[in-house]
Amino acid sequence: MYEELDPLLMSQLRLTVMSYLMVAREADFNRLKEETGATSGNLSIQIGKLQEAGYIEIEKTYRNNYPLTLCRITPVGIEAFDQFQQKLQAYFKR
Amino acid sequence: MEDKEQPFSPADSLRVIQQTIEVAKRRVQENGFYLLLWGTLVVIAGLWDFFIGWNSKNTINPHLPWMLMPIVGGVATIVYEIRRQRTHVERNTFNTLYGMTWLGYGITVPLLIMYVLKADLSPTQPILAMTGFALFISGLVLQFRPIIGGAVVIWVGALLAIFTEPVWHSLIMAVATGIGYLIPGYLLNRSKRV
Repeated sequence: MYEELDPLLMSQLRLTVMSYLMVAREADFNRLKEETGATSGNLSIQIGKLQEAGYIEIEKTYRNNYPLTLCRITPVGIEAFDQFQQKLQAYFKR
Repeated sequence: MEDKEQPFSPADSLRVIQQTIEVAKRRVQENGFYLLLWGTLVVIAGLWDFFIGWNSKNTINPHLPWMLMPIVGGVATIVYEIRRQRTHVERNTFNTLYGMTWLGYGITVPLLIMYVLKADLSPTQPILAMTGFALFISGLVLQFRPIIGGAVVIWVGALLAIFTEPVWHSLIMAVATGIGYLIPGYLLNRSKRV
């Protein structure tokens, strides 16, 4: 079963980030930190992995003179998440 | 939440997805401000129009509040939106859909008003019908039933206006909007869904 599922999404933190972005499409780093309850370091590592896989893109910008890190889900990420969800549903139908 | 590199069960995965999506949906940044603002303005304008217009000897223009309403509401909306943009940066599908619904409403209603006034008809029914529609979509987007209830009240007002004399229309507008906007707006504000 586990082999069939995307290993990148078989992590609670990464899956939480992806689930949130599936609805929000875009969220800043602090919002994701607040929603996941993760530490900054851990969240940075995990969103880095999602970025490497092309699931999200990260934009570093400024707002009101403060640095802002925006995370945005990509079409690849949406496709991966949809497939993950479909496989989960298929698992429960067995 | 610490790093969970170890795989967790499919049931856990499904739970995480469902819980997170629910949280994200609630992030729709609407606190009822616009419902309260425009509801109050329409109630004031409607009651003013009805009671001043009732006395034909009155020299005060009964339609004056309707003319002032877009200016007062427009300025308040711009100020509020500028302040909100400074504090909230997040955009999401639901916020966008909600905003676009009311943008479409803001474009359609003046066109409708121009058309019905040119045809020498009362604008009350089309305004209320369109308002009910925009409110209905908003209620679905925000997943907030009192707003859907408000839409129904406003649709009933539109229906009532079809079968009543124009002299009652401003009162119908005030009452329908008072119930349809202010009650859901207050409940939304109280639920702090920001």
